[in-house]
Amino acid sequence: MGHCWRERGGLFGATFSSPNPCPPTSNGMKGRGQSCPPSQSHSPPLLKTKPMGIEKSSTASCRSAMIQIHVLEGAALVWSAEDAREIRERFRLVGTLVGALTRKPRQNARLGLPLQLLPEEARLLAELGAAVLVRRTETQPPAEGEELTQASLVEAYQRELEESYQEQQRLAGAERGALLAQLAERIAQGRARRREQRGEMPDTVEDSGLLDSPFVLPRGSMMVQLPTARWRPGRVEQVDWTSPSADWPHAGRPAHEARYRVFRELWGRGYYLSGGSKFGGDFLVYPGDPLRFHAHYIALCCPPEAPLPLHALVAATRLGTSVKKTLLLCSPGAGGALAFTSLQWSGLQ
Amino acid sequence: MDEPGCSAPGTPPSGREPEPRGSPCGNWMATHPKLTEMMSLDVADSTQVYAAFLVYLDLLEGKNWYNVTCVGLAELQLVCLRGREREAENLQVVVPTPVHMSFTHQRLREIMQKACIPQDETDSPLSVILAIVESDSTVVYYKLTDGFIMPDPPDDTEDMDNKQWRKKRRKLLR
Repeated sequence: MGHCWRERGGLFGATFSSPNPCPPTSNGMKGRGQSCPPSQSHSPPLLKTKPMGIEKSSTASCRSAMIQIHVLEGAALVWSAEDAREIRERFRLVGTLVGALTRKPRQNARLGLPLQLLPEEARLLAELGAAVLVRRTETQPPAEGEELTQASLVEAYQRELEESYQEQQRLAGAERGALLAQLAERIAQGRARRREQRGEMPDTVEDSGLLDSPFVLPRGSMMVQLPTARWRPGRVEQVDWTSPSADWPHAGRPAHEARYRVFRELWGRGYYLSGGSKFGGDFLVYPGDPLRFHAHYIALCCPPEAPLPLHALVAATRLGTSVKKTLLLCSPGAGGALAFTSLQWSGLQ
Repeated sequence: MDEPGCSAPGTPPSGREPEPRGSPCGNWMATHPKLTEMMSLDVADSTQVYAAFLVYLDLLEGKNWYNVTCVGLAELQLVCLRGREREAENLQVVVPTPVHMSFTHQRLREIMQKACIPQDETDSPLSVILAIVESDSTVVYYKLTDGFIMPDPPDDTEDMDNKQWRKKRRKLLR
């Protein structure tokens, strides 16, 4: 862990090394991806990237440990900053940050870890073999050779605090000494002037004593590190994502299965996807990273036989038009493939 | 102009007072040749035919379309219209429907496949315009296309002049 005075956490705990953002366009900070040709239903995706076919072997060779996704009553959470970053950069999955920032707790503009994934995103990572779903448990027997009780953890923390305090005191003392040495001449001059005013003899021997007085760093001024990631994971057990359980109820549900099929298909075509509840849809489909682009489509998953009332269709399409997105109806079509229909306002005045 | 209400023409509306003699309007819709033509196609029920007739009138008189014809699709039980928005453009298909009819996604795709005109360029996707007719004769037109159609990009100069946008941008950059 080391001694780092900077607090870890924030967005991802490290500089987010994404490629240079688009030069600011006149409509604000995001670009529209206009350089890409309009896509047809059967042609390759908008981005000229390779299709994401991540094999298990490449996953295993790049990372020694799998990403841990903590599930709690159906929500999938990632607590590690490194994992969150990898999920975004390598797997093109965005998720939502839902935690409070330790230094700025009472606001909602910038949130921190954990990263909450959509059930579809968590399932995709599990299917690719890049992540395991885990849940906290107290029933697991302790690891061999280590009996980590609560008391011993507290003891270890206090010990670290004390070590950190000693080091801070030493460093602060050294810094203070260096500062005094720098200003020694001016201090001596000031002293001499004061003695002259009071009419005493200058006494240089007494002055130098100031530099040797012991320095005590007050405990209240000590810097304390607040870890925002557990460096030793708590006890967890693996959760089977293929069968429904209290913490992962999505497996087998027809609504989830339908949404997942659409999610997987759109992700496979190279798009970035995020939750679509802000626009009344299932997913928002972006041509690139959501930090750089506005969404192009609002995806609505509808079972092929479910009736769509026309007024709902009008409302959804009209909303899409007013926010400059196309409504995309997605459902399983004939022959197992997915069928996509775009709805737009026709522009007839 | 006396217009019949939401009920299909040709059936006497109940509770309506008889028109004064000599009025130039009368029940002109019932005897309109295009309406009788659509009804004679005998593919759809009267509400859909009436909706198709209203859309026909709107396209020709309201939107000034060219060469609007009606086509009956027996297997879909719909009357749909074909016309050009401007003289030089291609034919487009308009599928009128009353608002209370509900569709499944599958039916929408079936309509697209069967009603669409095969264009000369084979790579252009299937597309129809769905014309939804309300009970007060309001018609809204929405375009359905197979596949992914990117939305129109925002008009840059228009956004530049937008005062609200400028205010927002100033706030963002602060």
